[in-house]
Amino acid sequence: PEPEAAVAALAEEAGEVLGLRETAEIAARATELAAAAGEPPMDPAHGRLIEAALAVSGPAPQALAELDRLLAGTGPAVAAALERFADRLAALEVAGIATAELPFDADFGRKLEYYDGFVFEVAAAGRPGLPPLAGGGRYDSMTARLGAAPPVPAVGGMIRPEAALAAGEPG
Amino acid sequence: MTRLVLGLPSKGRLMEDSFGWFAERGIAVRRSGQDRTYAAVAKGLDGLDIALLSAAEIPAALTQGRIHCGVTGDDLVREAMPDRAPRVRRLAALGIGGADVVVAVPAFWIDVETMGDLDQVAARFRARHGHGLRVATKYPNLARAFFHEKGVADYRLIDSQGATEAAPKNLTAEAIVDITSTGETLRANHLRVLDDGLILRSEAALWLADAAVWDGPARRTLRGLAARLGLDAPA
Repeated sequence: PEPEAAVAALAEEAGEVLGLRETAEIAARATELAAAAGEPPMDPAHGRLIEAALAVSGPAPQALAELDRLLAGTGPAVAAALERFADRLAALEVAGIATAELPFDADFGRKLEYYDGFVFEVAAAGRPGLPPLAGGGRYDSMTARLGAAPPVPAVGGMIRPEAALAAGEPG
Repeated sequence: MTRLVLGLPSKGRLMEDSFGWFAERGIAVRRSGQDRTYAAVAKGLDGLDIALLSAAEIPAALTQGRIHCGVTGDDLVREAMPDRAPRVRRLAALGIGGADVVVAVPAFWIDVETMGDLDQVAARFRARHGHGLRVATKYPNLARAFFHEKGVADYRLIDSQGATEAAPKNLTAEAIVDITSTGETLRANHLRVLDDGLILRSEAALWLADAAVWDGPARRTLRGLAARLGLDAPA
């Protein structure tokens, strides 16, 4: 409460209080950020492990093997995620997708932060002038954020019709 | 036999500065008829007609080929033509009308300096206030593309044709995307530009419309215009 009052005073000095967002909200968040900044830095070994995992890139089965190796012993949550990755590749095979050729990049992420699970993008090979033809993924936590209790699982994607049609024509 | 139609802003500082820019290069533009009519004539280049249009109409007139060339701001062109294949070409900057399209928030939001901060605030805002964070703007395409680029998703655009900078105080939006030249109006309204909130540096430019009728005479006039303005004639 003391530091928050000081932050609230700073805020009011910085500009007229206007709009829906209240000084108390600003003070609360600024205080949290200051506390986080004061915490000790991450163990460098953990940082290196995260960077190594994010650098994994290649055909999906190989990428999975590499991640299994790198992340062995990091705990049940990671192990469960790697299991789901393996299950997904198996399901794709059953659906007729040759996963041996499917590119995987650990650092690929949709720009929009509401995606919090599997994410994907479809590009036309050899057509650098075209934008991605499709993209999407899972965003289970969005439904909770919008008020669903319990949260409703959600997946979605978008297709760019003009790009998809153009990809079907000779470049 | 097509005369080349040059669209110029019909009022304000931009009109005066555009007329002055062409006058310096030997093309004298004069309003014809009463002050209130949108008619003007040009002396100094054969085959050239002038159309006076509001600055906001000029991008549409260019896209539709109703004018061959036109003077308007980068901001209005980029907002009107967000796709990857613009139908206009930028021939020259006029050195006038410089302004930035920016993201601004209330200055007292001392915990918000970047789009990353805005993203976090947007997420909490909904939980606290029951609706998404609102951004007032008359540049929905520019705003949407920028917010996507910066990974901010949980917000809603509010159309604002009037005094955008008054929206937060009027409780019609929490943040704005607006154009600013000196920053004076933003400061006067107790708003601050985010550190990484520059969307576009804009200035007034002379544009060429691919969709206009470019027959022999129009092309000849264009070559004459380009020579007069000290530009390479576009193909």
